[in-house]
Amino acid sequence: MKITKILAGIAFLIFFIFLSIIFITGVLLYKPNSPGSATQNSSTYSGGSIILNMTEISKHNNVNDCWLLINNKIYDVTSFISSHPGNSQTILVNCGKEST
Amino acid sequence: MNKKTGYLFIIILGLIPLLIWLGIEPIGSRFSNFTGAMINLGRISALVGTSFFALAFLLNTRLKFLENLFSGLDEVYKAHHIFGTSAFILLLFHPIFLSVQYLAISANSAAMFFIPSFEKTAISSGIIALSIMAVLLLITFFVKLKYHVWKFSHKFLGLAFLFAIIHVLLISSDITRSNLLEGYMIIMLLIGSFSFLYKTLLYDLLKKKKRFSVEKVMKLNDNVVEVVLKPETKIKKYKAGQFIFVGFEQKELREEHPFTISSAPSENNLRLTIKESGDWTKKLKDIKVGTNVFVDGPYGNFYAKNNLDQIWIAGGIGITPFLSMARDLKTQSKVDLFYSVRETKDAVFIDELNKISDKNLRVHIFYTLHGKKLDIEDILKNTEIKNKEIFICGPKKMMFNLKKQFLSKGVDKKKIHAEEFGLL
Repeated sequence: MKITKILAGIAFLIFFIFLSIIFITGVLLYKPNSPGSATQNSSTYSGGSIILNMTEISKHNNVNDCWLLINNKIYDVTSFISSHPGNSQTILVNCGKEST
Repeated sequence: MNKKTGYLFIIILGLIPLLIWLGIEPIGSRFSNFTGAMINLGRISALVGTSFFALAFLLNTRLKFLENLFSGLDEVYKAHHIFGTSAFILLLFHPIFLSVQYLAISANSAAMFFIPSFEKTAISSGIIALSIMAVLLLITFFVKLKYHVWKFSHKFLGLAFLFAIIHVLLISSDITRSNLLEGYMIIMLLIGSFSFLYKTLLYDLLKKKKRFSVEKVMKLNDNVVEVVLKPETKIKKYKAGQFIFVGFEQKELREEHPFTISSAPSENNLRLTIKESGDWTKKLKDIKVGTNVFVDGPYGNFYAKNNLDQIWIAGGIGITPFLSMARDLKTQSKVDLFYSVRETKDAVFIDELNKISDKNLRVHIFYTLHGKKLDIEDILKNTEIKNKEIFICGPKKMMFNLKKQFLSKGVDKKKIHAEEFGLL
């Protein structure tokens, strides 16, 4: 049963390295924008509409909070995901992205 | 039945969810872009991995139908090991594949995906399940624990499975979109849960019914003892060559271990011939007469199913199944027994075997003290190997080598039977 031991070891090593890289780049090296400056830099208010930039939109990227950018307008489709007739994943993949 | 039947059975059960899943939506649309393909690989690994995880619990139950499917309990345990490991590997890749969609956004959102929190119960239970599984299986593979400590730790895979169930039922996925897939996965989860509950709770209660008591303990040489077990009522029918699991009602000897029965089925008592090979077997020498014994069995597939002539090859304490067979010898087939031991004092049963031997049972003894191992040439010098059933029981390496040598001489694989205890 040496072969199963080796395969499990390799699989775990891949998992461990993958997770380490994600956590190092995503947590340790990650510099979040302070909330104040973020609104200032990324979103501007002009003539009754809010202009949002892609960093703001890209935060809404999951099942519980999904925005789509379609023809330069933002749509919050969170409640629509569960009732989407096709594969909900086709929407989910595009959450927080340009998806015209 | 061929052991392949068993493996095929489990593989099919594990792949059925994949087939149902493929029926939900055309494969083309699932793999049309990279992120989508990764998400779907993540789902495949989850469906098949969870099924194998559940089936690994089933493969730990010692149910009779499994032994028939795999033609031998040792093979069932091997399958338990193989499918359990496969489940672990698949389930490790499950979150990796799924995290790619977050990685496409930012490394930070991917990192957040792996951090459990109370708001995301479904994902968190999956993370907990996989963490428990990883710790326990890494221990199994890479940490050498005492047998009973390891066995206790391994039970907590039931807890990992419980969190996996919560995860599967709560997460919004393809399972929630297809009743058929949901139904099938629930059946898998139930199979896993019932198998676990049966083996950890019910089994201990059931086995108490098969009670024996120690009748006699005899020292045969420095490290081999014969233990005679007297049944409270009647012995379940068994075949010479089968084995039982035995646990004694005495501190530190409760943990059950597998032993070949060395008495003949016609005897009123069960005799076990046990070599000292660890703490457990060491303590066994001093067991008191009258101690209650729990017996589970018989199991095993190490016996002739036809009337062909036979070759028996025993290495050291591997003589035990052949003792039972010799004591039970039917006259239809001729048998050559090759008994390989280190030196004279190790050949504990040679006198009795010589006494039984006649024109139907020829006993050949080999001493390996001077480095010469028993090989196929030694066997060919003494007997024909064509059209005979070959039984080998001994150290792993010896069985492996001899098996290879028989195959190289053109012996049909199906005719070679080897008893493996390594995994029990």
